[in-house]
Amino acid sequence: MNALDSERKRGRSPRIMHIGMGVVCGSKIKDMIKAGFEFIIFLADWHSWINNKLGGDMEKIRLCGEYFKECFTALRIKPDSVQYLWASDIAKNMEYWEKVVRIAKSVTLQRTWRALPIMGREMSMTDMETAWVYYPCMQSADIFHMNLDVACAGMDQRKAHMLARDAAEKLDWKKPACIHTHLLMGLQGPEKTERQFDENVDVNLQISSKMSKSIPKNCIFIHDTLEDIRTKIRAAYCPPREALRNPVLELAKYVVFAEKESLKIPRPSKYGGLESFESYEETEKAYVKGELHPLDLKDGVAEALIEILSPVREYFHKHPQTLRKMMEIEITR
Amino acid sequence: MDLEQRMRLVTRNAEEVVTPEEMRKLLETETKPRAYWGFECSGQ
Repeated sequence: MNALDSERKRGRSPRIMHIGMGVVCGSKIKDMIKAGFEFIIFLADWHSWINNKLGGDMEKIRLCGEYFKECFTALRIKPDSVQYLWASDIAKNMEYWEKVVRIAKSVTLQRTWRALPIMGREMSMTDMETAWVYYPCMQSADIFHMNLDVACAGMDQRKAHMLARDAAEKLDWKKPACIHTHLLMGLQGPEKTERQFDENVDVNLQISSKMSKSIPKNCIFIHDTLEDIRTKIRAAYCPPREALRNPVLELAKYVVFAEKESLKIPRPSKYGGLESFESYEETEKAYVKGELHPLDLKDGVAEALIEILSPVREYFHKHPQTLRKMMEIEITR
Repeated sequence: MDLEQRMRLVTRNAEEVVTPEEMRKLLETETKPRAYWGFECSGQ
């Protein structure tokens, strides 16, 4: 992890996976597999290129996709229980592009615009790329081309899915059901914004407050050391007796109880000793009543995160190559 | 695994299910339905 340490010293945000993608998405994928789904993890290289991710450099984008595969494997999604598919695999097919055009013809430009990834929507016309308009149409075409029954994504992608559902009705194609997951809040707490990502006020606040890799102290990375995790959680926003918009309780709900049956609170004996909560609801109830102190909650959540992420540390200790290459991307840029 | 267990697994911790009725019907009729999650390969 020397590369990661040197990145930290330079104060740069490392290009690595955070716990929202790793565990919130990862555990939902595991749920779907357990429920009998044939599950595709789609590595959207073309979309990343359109969205100018990693400088729009396809070689770096592919490397990042390979790194994601390893992260999910490390997080115990067995490689033979899912199918990994690249956007470039389906983009080779002429019928895929026919679907893109059919979708583009079935929706207005205004509608496509609203479904764009966040970056472009508030720029002036002269700074925008025409290619961005392809993005939501491709996102919809992906769903139909892979003949999917269900599309999963975070709440910030719901508009693209709604566009796909509308297109399905107009074109008489199979309409996908959708699962939208919560966007984990950054450790700093809620961040209000003037920008409008979504008409719904709560969804808008969720998007503007989401955990972002660009502010490392507000973000838990799956590769964080034990000390990183303890320090960051200790410093996190955690209003006493407040369950709403509390990032530490969110971690308990969407990460700890998604992966574990209980949350252990390692409390000193003079404050009541070790306590164990068997469900999120029980934890929240005790917290709101004031029976669970913010500091004790933080310690319990930090130790649980350390345990949940320990397979990641083990995996990348044994297989450091891809992670190392990901770090070098940032260094040479 | 029975239908209720599958439905609980699929919808647990989900902020939104569009629509719960469609999901239930899908699980009733398909033993091996197809789902995906798309990820941008990005540094942020």
